Amino acid sequence: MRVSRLTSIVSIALATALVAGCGGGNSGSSGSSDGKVTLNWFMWSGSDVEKNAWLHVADMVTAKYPNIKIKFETAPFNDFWTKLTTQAASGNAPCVIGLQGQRAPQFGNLLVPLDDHMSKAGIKASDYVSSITKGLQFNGKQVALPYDVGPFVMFYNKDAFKAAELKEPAIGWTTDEFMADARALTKAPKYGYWAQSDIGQLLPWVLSSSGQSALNAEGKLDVDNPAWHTSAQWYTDLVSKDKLSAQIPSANSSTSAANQFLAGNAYMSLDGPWDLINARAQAKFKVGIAPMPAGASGSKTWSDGSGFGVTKDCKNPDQAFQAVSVMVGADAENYLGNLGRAYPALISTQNSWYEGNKTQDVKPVMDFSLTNSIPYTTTPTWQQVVTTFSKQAVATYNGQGSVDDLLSQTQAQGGS
Amino acid sequence: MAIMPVDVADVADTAPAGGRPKRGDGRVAAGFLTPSMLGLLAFTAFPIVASLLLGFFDWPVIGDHTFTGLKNYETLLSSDEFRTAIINTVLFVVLYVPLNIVISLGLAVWINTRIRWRGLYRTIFFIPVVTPVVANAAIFSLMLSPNGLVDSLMQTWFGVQAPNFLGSKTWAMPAVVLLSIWQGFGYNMLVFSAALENVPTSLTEAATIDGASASKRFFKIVLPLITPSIFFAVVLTLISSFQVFTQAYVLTGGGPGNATTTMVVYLYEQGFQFYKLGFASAIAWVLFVIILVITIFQFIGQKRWVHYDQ
Repeated sequence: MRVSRLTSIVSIALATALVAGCGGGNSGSSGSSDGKVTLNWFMWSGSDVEKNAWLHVADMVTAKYPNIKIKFETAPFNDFWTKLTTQAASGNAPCVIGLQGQRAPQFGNLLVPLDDHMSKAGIKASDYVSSITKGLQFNGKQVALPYDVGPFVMFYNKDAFKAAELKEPAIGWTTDEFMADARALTKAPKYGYWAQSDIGQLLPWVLSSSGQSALNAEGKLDVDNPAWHTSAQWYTDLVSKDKLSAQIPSANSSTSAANQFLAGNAYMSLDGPWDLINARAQAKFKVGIAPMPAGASGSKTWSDGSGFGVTKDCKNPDQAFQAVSVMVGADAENYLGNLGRAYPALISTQNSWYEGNKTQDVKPVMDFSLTNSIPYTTTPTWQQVVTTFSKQAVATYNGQGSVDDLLSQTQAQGGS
Repeated sequence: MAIMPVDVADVADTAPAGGRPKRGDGRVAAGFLTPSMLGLLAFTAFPIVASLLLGFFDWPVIGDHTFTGLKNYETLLSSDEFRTAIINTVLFVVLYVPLNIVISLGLAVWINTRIRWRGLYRTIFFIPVVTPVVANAAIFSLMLSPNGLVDSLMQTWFGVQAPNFLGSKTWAMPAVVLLSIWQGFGYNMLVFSAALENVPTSLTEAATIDGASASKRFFKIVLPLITPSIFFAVVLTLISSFQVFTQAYVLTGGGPGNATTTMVVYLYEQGFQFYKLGFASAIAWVLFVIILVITIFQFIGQKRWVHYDQ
């Protein structure tokens, strides 16, 4: 009697645990009979301030749809992708996830196409900046809706230009003018420009000189070609022959350019508007932005941004889409724009970013650069391209390797 | 809190008397061992077996996996990058291990002479060991970067710019070795320090009386007596230096070019950046075999130079 009772208690306990385990098995969402659902939302954030902004957006979802509760999960940007990959591998991806445009080919497969949901809900892709809506497509389907976007532009030190009695760069300036300015500003150890080993740093120069991107018409990596050779050689000369930039410190110092620019050791640096408000708050000088200097092919740059998508693992995709629609809706975009957290991808709300952060002065450059930008399109194995390129670029730019090595190795690693 | 005498008596009562069968002990021991055995099975034994199997598959993190037999090993052994990684690792070992042993032994000998504050020095020298590698690497990175501490000092003192240590193929590996020595010498120093304390003073005193010089006493008496500790330190340092990762990864990211891509950096890239888990497992097993063979040779070779009897 005692034994059987014990057995039954244990089996009931086990069964309960199993059922509970299945129900709440972190499948990204859980529902109950009264129609209330809890959705897991996974998004990167770099600070408490950022995290609190997202928590506020989560509250906006519940305010609009009281039946949806958001459980916010976060990780720093670099760890975010590792964690997302492992969660997806075990079939436990959260319901709603953040996605960067250039990672869409890598993670697009995890996400539900949103086109039907959008037409049902009356959300028009044309209300958003087209380069980033395109960037968040996968196999021609919209897999995420964008909340922010930004073109890669030239940050420059206004005070240094004034002190050197140079005309500030503006729309229409050229690569030759950039070189002349950099030459006038460089007095080692202070440099006119700060070069970096990331492939995204070279891409705008290639675009402006030849109009070619890193991918060919079939979407395959194509960098071992004359256009890339010319630009990479020019960039290498800028560092190791003309010495208008300091040598590249190491492949692992992606933040160093921003730091060196902010510290006043380099007077120009390519960066995105997502860093502008922070740069203006931190720098002890006035920070201006200019479009890419025009080359033979005009002033061209890439733009990228991020958005939110619904995973295939999600048990409540309809509610998850409702949540996404709030996250990229006008209220949330105005809120994020005002805070300076995002340059809104929703065109009608972009003024909030200028007004909330007193950045009206850069509007012409932002508009010009966005118009002249292409989406940062990538391949599913883009991480291999980035890693291989970065490591070899340090050696090549510093004069310890050839441009041939750089481009052929990158093509070999990332093109397979 | 003191243990009440009555508790002690209770414990003594329940403790197995000498005549009891040993099976009871076995069960109790098994009970105590279970948690750590489960941990060992789940986090060590299972991954080892899994990685052996994974090595025969094309296994991306997301997507389907396919059995490919020995293909990973074939690709690996014919890969130029892997050959570079092996050469880099061997270069690191050859630079790092002797330097580490000499520096830590030298400091241990110095501390063991009756200097003041020796306890304090020992603690100070041990601090880098307990500091996280990443923190040490971040500091080194700040010091060695252009416009960093070293560069600034050289500009102020000599008016020249320091080499771009972390971005130069010539200097990157020495920088990684330097950081590793900073990180690692304290541990071996402590091992040697303990061994030196155990050398009977009667032996060295007798030699002094016989007129042996300080260097003779050290090389003929002290050094042979601490060879077991040196052997221990060399084996462990060698194994850990074949697995060097954090120093290279944080300082240089394996670059410039592939100048500091060691075997484990290569493994990490393939496994956790490119998500080729099968290929990365194959690298791990090749590394394991290399370390195993070298360690076996060390154990065979020790008969020639390690003295276990005092």
